[in-house]
Amino acid sequence: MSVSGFSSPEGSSAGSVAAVAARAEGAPAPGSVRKLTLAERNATRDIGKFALILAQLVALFGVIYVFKVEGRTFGELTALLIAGFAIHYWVPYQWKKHFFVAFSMAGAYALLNPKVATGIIASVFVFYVILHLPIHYWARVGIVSVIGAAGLYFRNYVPESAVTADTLASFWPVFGGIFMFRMMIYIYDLRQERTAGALLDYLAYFFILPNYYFLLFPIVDYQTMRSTYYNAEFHRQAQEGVRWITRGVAQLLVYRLIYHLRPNPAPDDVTSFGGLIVAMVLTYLLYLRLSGQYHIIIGMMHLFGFNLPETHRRFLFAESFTDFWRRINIYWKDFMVKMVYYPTFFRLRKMGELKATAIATVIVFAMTWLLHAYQVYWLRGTFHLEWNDILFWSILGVLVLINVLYETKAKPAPVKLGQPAPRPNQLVRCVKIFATFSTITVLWSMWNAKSLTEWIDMLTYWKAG
Amino acid sequence: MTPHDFRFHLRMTVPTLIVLVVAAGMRMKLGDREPDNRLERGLEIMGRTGLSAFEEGELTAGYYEGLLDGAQKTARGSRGLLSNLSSLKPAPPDWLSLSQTPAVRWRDDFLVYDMQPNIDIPMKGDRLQTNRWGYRDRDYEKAKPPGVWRIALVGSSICMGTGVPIDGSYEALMEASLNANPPCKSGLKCEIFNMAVPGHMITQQLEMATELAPEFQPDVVLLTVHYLAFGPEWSSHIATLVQEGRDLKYPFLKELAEKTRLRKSDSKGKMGTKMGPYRLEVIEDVLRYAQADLEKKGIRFAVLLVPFPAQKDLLKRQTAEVLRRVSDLNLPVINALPAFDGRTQDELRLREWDNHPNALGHRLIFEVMDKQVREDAKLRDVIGGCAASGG
Repeated sequence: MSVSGFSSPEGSSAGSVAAVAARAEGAPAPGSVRKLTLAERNATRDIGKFALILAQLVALFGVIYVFKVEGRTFGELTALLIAGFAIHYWVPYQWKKHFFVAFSMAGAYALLNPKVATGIIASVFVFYVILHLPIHYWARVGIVSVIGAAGLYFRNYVPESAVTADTLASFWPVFGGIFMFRMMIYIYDLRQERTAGALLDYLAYFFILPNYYFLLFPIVDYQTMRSTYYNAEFHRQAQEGVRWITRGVAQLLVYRLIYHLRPNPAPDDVTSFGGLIVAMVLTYLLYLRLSGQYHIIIGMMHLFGFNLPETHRRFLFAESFTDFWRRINIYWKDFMVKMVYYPTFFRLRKMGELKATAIATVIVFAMTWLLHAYQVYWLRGTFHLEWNDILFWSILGVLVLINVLYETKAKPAPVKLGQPAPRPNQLVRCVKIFATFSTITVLWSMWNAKSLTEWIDMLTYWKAG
Repeated sequence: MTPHDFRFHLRMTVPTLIVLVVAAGMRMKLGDREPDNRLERGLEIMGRTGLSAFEEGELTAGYYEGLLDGAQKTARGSRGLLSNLSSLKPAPPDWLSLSQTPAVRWRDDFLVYDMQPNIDIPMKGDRLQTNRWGYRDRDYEKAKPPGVWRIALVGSSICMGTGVPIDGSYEALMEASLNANPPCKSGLKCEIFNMAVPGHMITQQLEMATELAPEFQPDVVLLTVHYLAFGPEWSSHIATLVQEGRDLKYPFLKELAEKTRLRKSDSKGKMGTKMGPYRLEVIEDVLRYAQADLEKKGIRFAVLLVPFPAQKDLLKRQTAEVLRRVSDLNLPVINALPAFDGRTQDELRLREWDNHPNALGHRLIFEVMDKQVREDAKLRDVIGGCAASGG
């Protein structure tokens, strides 16, 4: 089976389900000390490291405050999370997840309109009750699907009362941001006892404090979230979280520079080839805002024991289109692999692996296009089915497909026994990175143009007549 | 692969964190002061929370809209879930622009549109009432009465005072101040005849200044230069004239259309691209033409630079360049751009979905204007009417 287009790089969530913490072996003998579980050992405290991590977080808060990174509410969220981290650290291990859930629920009232917060909390519990009714699985899924469809239908409903209209306008994006993808994953995992998890796992999965602010949220996998909970020494993972938050904040500040200094895509500032290149590259680099936010979100999760993998990995240096697909928004890729690619591939495997791979890849990109429009609808209430979207995902899909098929058929370089693997030619690597970056830059500028006509106008700046 | 340990992640974090903290310290030290060098400018930009010039232009153009092409361009449908525009509230359904109201009067000439006379309708949180001439001002007589120093003010919706009570606009405040406390003993009563029309671009303002304003016998024509002259829609009027086959009238516009090879079949965007490199040249030509034409008619000409709640930097840079180009004309210039310094966009704009200056914005503009007119001899003469009395 060739899944090279979707094989997981090191550290990706889909490929690295870590072992669940070892259970204590039976009841301890009278008078003896109970052996700590792995997770409990990982949660051992160290006041020096705690102080160091806290100091860094406070410094980061200062930076966020001074530069007003992502606005005032983000500053409030950061302050809340730092306070939450400081308390959570001292909570006994067996109560940490409970604290995280309670803290996230309370945080909803701090960050959202109280009616919206109540609506969201109620929704989480209502969905849980429905999904655990003693009826057939598909009946439960059907009920939740009907509720979801009703949500989509009423997404843009504007009642007469201005107050209610205002509340609903705030409610739907948050509702969508929490449930639109994670509910799909939860329902998928609910099919099996071993993957269903307990109520606490469910609550922790849907009550994630940063999600109330970051409505465009990484698609955290339910199993990964369960299995990576305190699966590493806490201070190491918390410091990694701080590292990612720092990286994210730096990216958001660089984004600001790009955002304000970027030439108008058209018409005044693109009047030369150099101007065209600068406009296109900077348009692509606007993506730093998303990657910056995602680094911050997952970094924050680390502070509460969720040792989730990173969301983006040096995507600007991708060497091929499959490499790009693997590095940019890794959580989306993993979501597609779990929910679309594998189910499709295994169903079609009888046709031959190459055919199954090709069809599954095409379906992945078609679904990516559709689900991006679905996401926009939940968060913005607008339909986003433009030609640039279709073209972008189609072209990218074709490029990834060609790459996947090429990698599937390519013979690996022979390696002699006892000899190290040959090092890649650096010049060839640079050419590959440049070619991939250039192609993605052009496609990205097309995707982000207001219309194909405007994009073509920008490209043909030199045609004055 | 062995996972990295605590020390590794700490080593990878600290250098970046130190840089960020130092940058934050420098940003705090910079405060509201204008940046002196590139580093300070970069820090200032990193601390901005508003829209970029481009997106602000899109949003602003949405309110100046396509009065000319009938198509409302709003930025609210903008792409991208992370678009800053997603943080703006949509305007309520009753927040109409001029073209959506019965107040617009379409014309067959160069001007394309202006306003109906004797209109009284609600608009943008206030009322739009026009006099018998179709302007939002007192009902002045066409012939200038004796003992009056008349200034014809030409501009667009900011100048007109969109959303602000008629006596709360900077023009009304200025007129009241000059009459209550004259800058000199000229004995003249000051009339500022507000001929501003929402959405008028710099080329339409030229037509107003040289063709329509003289009918009212002004002593001075005061032309406002503001964001519309520099935003992405600056050339939309010219594009409409070409698309509709109307006469471009002014020699420099005809020359522009020829050298950029504007075609009737070109889209607005395409024409904008073609004319893009000539924007500042067009503004310069407008000012030169107005000065020369009004001089022949015995009317003084002055310029008012009006700030905008957003894009203060952009306006300052671009207007400085324009003034440099026309420095040989020795024009009297009222520079109200510093009026909004140190103020936030939220304090100054009409609503969360509308960037027109609010009552505070107009008052701040008036205060800067008033100070300059009283302190600058040239402005005192031209705007204060002191030249007439020799005082």
